[in-house]
Amino acid sequence: MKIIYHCYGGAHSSVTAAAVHLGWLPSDRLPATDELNNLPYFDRPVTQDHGNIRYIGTDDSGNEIFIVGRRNASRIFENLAAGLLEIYAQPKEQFIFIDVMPYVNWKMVLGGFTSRRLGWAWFGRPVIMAGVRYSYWSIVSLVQRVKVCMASGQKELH
Amino acid sequence: MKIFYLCHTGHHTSLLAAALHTGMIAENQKNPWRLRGFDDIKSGDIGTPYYVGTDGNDAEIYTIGVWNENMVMSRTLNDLINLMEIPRGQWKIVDTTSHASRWTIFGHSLKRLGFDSLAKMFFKAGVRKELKGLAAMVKKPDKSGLHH
Repeated sequence: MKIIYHCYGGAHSSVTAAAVHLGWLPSDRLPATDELNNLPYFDRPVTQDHGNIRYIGTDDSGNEIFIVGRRNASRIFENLAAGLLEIYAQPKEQFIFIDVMPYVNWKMVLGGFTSRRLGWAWFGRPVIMAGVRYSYWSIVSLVQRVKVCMASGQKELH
Repeated sequence: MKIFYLCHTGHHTSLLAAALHTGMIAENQKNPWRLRGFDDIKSGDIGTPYYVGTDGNDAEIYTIGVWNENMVMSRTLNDLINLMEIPRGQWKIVDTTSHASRWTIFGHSLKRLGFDSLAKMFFKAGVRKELKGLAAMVKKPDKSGLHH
């Protein structure tokens, strides 16, 4: 199964969710700054990277975890993915797309903009860290629901 | 082989290009806006691939709406098809957004505001402006926005 976490830039919330899924970030405490900084792609992608689906790792169940930044085209992305699955007759249960944007807060938006768009990482990154920690338990909860759905064979995340 | 033509909605500029490709319309077509599917899209459906037909080489021709995110969605489309383990060379992506005329683009804005009839007038004007350029592009697909 391929699980694709998507958000605006593919640099913060989706990376965090993927890392939690893979066990690279804790599920029982808030992550330290170094733990977030050391994640691959965390606050690294630039505008030219948007749209690229990046492989992050494989979880304990053999599912491949990916991330993608699709900017504000969430609906377009989901329609595109669903349409392609149909065109290529791919089993829908083999691809799961998880939108992490609902768990993004204003700190992550502000930090992401200043760090990635303006290049002010010195300012943006600490703001992003604060934002990630603020939404962290929601993201952990999302990932846990994803895992429960996969384990129970449910096709849709509720 | 599948060929995906991209534009803002998948039902305007890219549809013209796809129709030229399949021979459904000619470069000097009168009233090309009468094409099946032209301007027949709701905003919530943008992104869903639209099957246009098959060309002389049995390639399936589709259009996809990507709004203003043509570069981003081109990459995503490419990567998604790769993830599905489709052999390379079995698909092509043609971005027609640069061929959209100002009339068509303004028509999109009008349609978003709910002025459908007025938008249609602008789409018709846009079609006339775009047809020649799209016909030239379709004849030379490898040199114009082709990715795979």
